[in-house]
Amino acid sequence: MDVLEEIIVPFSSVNDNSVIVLSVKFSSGSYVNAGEIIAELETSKTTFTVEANHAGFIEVLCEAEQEVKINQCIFKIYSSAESIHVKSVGNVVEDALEDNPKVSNGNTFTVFSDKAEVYIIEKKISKSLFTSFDYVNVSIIEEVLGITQDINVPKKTEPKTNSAPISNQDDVVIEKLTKDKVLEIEYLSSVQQSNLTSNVTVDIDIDKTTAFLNERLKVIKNSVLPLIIFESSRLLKKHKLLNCYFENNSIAYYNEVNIGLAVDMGKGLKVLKIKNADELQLLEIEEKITELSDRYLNDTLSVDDLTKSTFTITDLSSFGVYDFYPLINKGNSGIMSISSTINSSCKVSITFDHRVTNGKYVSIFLMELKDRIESYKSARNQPAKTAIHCYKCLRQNSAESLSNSIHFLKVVDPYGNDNVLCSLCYEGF
Amino acid sequence: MNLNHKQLKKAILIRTVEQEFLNLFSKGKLNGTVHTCVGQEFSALAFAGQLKKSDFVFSNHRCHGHYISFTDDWRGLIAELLGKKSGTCGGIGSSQHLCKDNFFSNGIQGGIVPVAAGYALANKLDKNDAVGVVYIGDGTLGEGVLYETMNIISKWDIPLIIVCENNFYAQSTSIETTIAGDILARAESFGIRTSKSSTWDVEELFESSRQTIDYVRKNKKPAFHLVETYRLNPHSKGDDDRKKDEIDSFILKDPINIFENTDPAYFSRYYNEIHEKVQAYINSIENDEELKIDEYYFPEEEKLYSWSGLKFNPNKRQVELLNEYLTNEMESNRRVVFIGEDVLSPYGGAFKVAKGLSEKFPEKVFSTPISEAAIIGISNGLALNNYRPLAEIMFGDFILLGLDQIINHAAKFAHMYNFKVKCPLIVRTPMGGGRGYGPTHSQSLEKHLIGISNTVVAATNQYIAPSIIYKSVFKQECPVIVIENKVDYGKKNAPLAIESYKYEVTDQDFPVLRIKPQFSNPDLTIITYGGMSDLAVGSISEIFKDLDQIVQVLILTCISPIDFKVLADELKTSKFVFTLEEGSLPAGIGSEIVAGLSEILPNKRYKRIAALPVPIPSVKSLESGVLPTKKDLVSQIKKYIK
Repeated sequence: MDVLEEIIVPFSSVNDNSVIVLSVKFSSGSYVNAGEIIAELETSKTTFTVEANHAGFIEVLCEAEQEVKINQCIFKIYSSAESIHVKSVGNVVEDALEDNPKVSNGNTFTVFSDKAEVYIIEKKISKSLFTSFDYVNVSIIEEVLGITQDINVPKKTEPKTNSAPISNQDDVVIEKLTKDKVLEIEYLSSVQQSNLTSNVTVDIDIDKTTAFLNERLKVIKNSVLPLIIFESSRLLKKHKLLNCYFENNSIAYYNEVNIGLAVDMGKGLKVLKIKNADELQLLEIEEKITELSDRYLNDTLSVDDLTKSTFTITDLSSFGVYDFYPLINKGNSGIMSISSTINSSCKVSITFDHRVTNGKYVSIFLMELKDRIESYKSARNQPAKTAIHCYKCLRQNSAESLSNSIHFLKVVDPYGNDNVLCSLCYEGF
Repeated sequence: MNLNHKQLKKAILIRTVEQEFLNLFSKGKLNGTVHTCVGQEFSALAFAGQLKKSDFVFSNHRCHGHYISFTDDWRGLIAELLGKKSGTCGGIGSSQHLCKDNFFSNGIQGGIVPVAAGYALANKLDKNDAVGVVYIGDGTLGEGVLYETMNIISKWDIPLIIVCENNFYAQSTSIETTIAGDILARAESFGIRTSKSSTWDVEELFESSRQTIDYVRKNKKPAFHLVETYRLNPHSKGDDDRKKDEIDSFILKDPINIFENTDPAYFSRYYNEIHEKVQAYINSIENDEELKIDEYYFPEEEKLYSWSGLKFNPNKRQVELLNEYLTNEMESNRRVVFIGEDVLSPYGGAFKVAKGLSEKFPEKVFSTPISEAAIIGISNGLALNNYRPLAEIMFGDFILLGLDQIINHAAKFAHMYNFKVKCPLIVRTPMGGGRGYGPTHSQSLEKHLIGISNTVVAATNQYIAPSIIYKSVFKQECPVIVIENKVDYGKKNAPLAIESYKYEVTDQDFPVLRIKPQFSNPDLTIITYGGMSDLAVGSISEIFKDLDQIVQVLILTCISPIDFKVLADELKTSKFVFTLEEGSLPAGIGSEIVAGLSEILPNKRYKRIAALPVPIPSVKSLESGVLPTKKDLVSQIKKYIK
């Protein structure tokens, strides 16, 4: 379909930057002949008509009583009528609703102020709570969240208090939940309310592994957490059903692996994101953990730190907790808990969303994780007896090779000599 | 001396009443003061006393003789000065502010002259036979509005007689120190017929006054009649520094005294009869009641109102809509008179509001010389005499030239004359800057117009069709000043479309316009009027985006008196209330709004936003530094809500 002609508002007088469309003679898709009058326009001094110079099918880009600017394109003439659609002129709805827009008070438009946007992202609030409002700012968000039950409340002057007492007030003291806690409830309800979560647990022997880590890591001591993050993130690239979430009978797979580390160091329970954890080395992961912890303590966490974790890990091992059943966060299909060490082993447990995966799948994941974690042995326990190196790449059996599980094979090289080949060269690239 | 005894008796009556007043004053029975006309009685009788009942008289502070001569109501006068409810004006106006049957007096020197001219103009438009007299003194010759009026009455052929009673003193000042040139030459220079008489040649006086009256009635042209005279008593009471022998010489010349000496028998008879009559009357009303406050002051009743959606005429500019409305009004109401500078076609007024009017209604459109005081004064006179004048003051800055006529005349007539008359004056004027016209052509002076008694100050804005405002303006029976805006004239009556915001108005005479979201409650409200309306509305989106506040804008169309109740009803969810005006900050409209609202809603946070208190510069960058801009508005709000 060719554009035969674009009709723009002509410049008519020094006084006018704009003119008014008095009438439009055709509707979009109609056929016009060359020379036909298609509209009447009015300036501050006079009225004039606009004609089509070409015959063809017209697309109308203005409407009667509309003020249009000089040089604005108000009509197009096409060689055929295909794909001419009636454009709606006028207001553009700024922020479409995420969820079902049918609202009790008939509102169909909702826009959030900049501060409100940040707030809801940070607190992971659903925009669907505000469908009855046209303009939402932080104070409206806080008002709405003062009510836990009622979603569609269009006009409030003060937040309602839960007025019905649930206990005889002589024997208890009633305290209202904090806003953060209310948000947490809302957030956790997202996956758990399906009632289709389940849990698998393994024991992992971490004695040698802990020793190894205490040597390798710079700051964090007596904790397998950084290693678990390291290995889990790589495994999640393979086991995609734990790096996704359920929505509308579909599975939304994440493209990245961002480990969310659940942290509560006195300033509330927050999930801190380690972005692209599968691409980070062990020391980098340790660095990230300490960085995020600092930011948490200094209240300098950014919105980005708190959003879009694809899988969450929560470590209560330092609290001497033997076992616990973690709850899946909104936007995840699994969460891993690490319980404390007893007899040199710790329990690692995964709660998973049965709507996207199943027990067998998760068990396989955990077994692989267990194998990997247990395969680490400290360099100190097994020092390199001799310094050997691969004859092809010259890699030595240094600490680095040990940590990366690179091994060396005794081979006969092409010259017939006894030599050493590292496993990487052996396996090829 | 061959004096008409009837006239003599009347003169004696006047003198007796005046002397009784002085008596009563010294006994402490009169409030205020009196300015007696003892010695000048015949001047009153020669003019006011020779008019028809359908004629009219305007007089000044020294009006008792004029009053008695024209109305014969010496009883009402006495009751008035004694403060009785049965007095001419219920005791409200007293000595200087009298009104009865086409007789008016007021205490501002010269102020009555253009009003008298307007009254006479109304008679001319009515094509009746009436003429009018306005009494001035030698002192009045110092006031500018006298000359504005003489110019106009001569140019327009208005049937008015200016009688100048020259008693050679204005209060304590002799005319030698105040009057340059010649008195009659002043009127002659305007082409007005002049005559000269004195109260010592009574026959001549009555003869020539008759001629003056007949001339004016017959020719429908003005006249100026100088009457030399002398007041035998002080200016008011006790303040007399004139030389005793001078006074004595005039006492001897006085016609009534001469009559007393030459005809003592008649004199005593007349005098005693009159004196007894007057005394008896004074005694009889001594204990009569006075007016009560609730017979004088009538507070506004609260009226119910409701909201509805506002309709627009987006294809028409405000000035076109206004011109259309005024044309229709003048067509349907033959009493509307359009009066202003440069209003004749084809020019049609500086802002073209009067376009085409003088062609359609040639007898009802008056283009005046540059005389703002006379424009409003003449309009006052027209209003008093059953017309509906529409006075245009070209730029709001110039309204100050006519402020006396608004405040001391139009605003007071109804009350001070005990509600015997109405003055439905309409003054329209554009305020506002933004065009670089500089300090004296860009101002918003409405703050000097609010709070005037009995006067409505309305303000148009671009979102409300002028017909809505003016329909109500034409319904009012009190003076109305309509503040228009220069820049708004060219704007279309169209809303600024903001998603999910509604434009609604009340159904009151001068509605309040409310712009707010359909569903969410506002956090802050901006109250404004007139030319700043689009500034407020245009800032809504930015304030929401940058300051996280949901804005409501309330636009007043009446800034005096302000309806605080409607405003307060709409502020329930707003924590902050801002007022926005183009005038300067001190004692502006915002001050009045905040004061009134804080009496009802003391717990809000209020802030006034206005122009800086300096004259408005012409250069664009400075002008927008002084006048409020959108940037100012948002940043001031931002600072205040922290």
